Amino acid sequence: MAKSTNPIQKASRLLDLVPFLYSHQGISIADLARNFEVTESEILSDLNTLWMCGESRFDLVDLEFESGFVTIRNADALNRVRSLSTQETMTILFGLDMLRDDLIHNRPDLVHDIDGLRNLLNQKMTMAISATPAYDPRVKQVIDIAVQTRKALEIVYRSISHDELSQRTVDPVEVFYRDNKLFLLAFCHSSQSRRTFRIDRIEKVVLSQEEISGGSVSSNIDEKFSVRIRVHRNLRRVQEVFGELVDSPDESFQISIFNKQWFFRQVLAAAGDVEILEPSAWRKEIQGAVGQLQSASR
Amino acid sequence: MSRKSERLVNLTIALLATSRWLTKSDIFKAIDGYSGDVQAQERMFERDKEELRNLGIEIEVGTFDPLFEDEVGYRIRPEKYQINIKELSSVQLSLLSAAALSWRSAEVKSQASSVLLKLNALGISCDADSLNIFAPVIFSSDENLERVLDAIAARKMISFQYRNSDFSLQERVIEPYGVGTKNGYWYVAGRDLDRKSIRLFRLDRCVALIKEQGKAGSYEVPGDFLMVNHLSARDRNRSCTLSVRVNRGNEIRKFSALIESSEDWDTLLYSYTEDSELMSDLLWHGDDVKVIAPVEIVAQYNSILAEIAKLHG
Repeated sequence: MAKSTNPIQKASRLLDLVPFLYSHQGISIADLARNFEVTESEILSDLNTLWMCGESRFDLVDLEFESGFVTIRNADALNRVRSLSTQETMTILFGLDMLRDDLIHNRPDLVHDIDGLRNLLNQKMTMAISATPAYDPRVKQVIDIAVQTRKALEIVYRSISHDELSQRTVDPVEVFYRDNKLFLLAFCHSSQSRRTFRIDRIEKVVLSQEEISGGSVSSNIDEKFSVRIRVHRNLRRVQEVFGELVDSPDESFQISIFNKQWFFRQVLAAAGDVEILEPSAWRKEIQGAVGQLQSASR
Repeated sequence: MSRKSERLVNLTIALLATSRWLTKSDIFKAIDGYSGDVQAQERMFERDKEELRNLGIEIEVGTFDPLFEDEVGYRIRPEKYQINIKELSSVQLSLLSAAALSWRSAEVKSQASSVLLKLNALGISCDADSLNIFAPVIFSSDENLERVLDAIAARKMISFQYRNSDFSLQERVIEPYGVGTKNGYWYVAGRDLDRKSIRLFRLDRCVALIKEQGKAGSYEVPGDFLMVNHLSARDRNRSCTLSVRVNRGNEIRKFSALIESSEDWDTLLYSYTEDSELMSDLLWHGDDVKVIAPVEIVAQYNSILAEIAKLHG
């Protein structure tokens, strides 16, 4: 992806270009742009700027790139790979911290190497960083293997709206993330359709010996309900549960619900923060549910 | 625009190539672009020096003659400028690549890929596959994450509009100490200047872009600060007795001890963190979970039910 460049970022890239060009003499402009994740015209502008740089006005960097292939000479002072910036070090430390959580379960022999590496990179920054995966690394590893080797998976899944564990055989399609969560898209044998599973709700996963079968793919369309609610307290928490709430004059909010059972559980769990206004039948229904809980609790 | 980048590169070359200290006047003579009167030149130079330092380039300041300290000189030591990876084993280099490859978000990913480019320039092939491990996945689509990393690197204060739990907005000013991710959310911890204590903020609750304030290096991070402590799970040091329907309450069972079992119901001792969260968790389970003891918790549960009933009555 091409990124916009300010003069500082450009200077930083120019400094990194020199040692890269020294070790990749004759690289094409297209490859160079790809490596630095910028457009070809951006890289050309870089080369044109670099060409004007040097130890003095009479001793400029010797760059040749008219042919579409780049060679460099006379930039010895800059022919050094720069040490990692603090930001670069921090991004690596995040990765290592995550990796450590993975490897404790999967490859304990490498944990010592990770700790050594973290201390060498920047012992102080190690203390300022903390990363834990939003999923169980053991579960993700089995899924990764299944995707790679095209094997089916046996999973035990905790449903988002029912308090139930279900056992399913699925053919994994891909792993993706959305709204800070990691998901598995897979063809579910029992429902005979493509389903999305939140990886942090997969309680158990076992690699099946079955190869992925073709399977007819139909997508599952959820019913959608329109609901109006009033929020009495804790608006931030309510918004984080139900998604963006659009203000209306009478302090009620219209929201779309895809799963009624999930919605009822959330209204109860809101412990009085949320009142259902419409549909009125749902208002009655929640009242009935509460009445039952009250008599059970007596 | 390229004038400025050109000047920064030329300044770096001059300071790297020199074997003696360069004075400001040496620098203004040798490098194009320092224009205007002496004060304007000095201001430009000060800014350039700051920019290079923000890129992680160490500029040393020294004097020619210890007796005449007024004439200071500048240089960059090549051995400090240059990456030092001699101490890293091949396994560690592969781990480094795996760590860089784990980033999925566009903004911060560029930092991670520039690390891979540096390794590549050293002729090191980045081969995370050789370890036979799967890289973890780190994601963030929050532009503020990069801003926080920049601020921490430069030790600059930041300010932002923060969404409080009652939905009100408040301007916060903090000295950022650390960043972390847990359950997919990103957090920044730092000293809140108004509250004069270390506070934790969730980045997705900052409603606009974070702004930097003041100068670089304006504070020190306490030596005992550990980000992981600010994100660790809270203690489940309270408990209550619940009756839970067989095969239900899967989440609750993870933090419970079984007291006894009958055909349809299990009696559990459940450990939890806070009463308000306990109430939400119990209510979410509807009629699959009943509170047995202590009496105060039962009373709290009943009064919430009464409140919901009244709201919908």
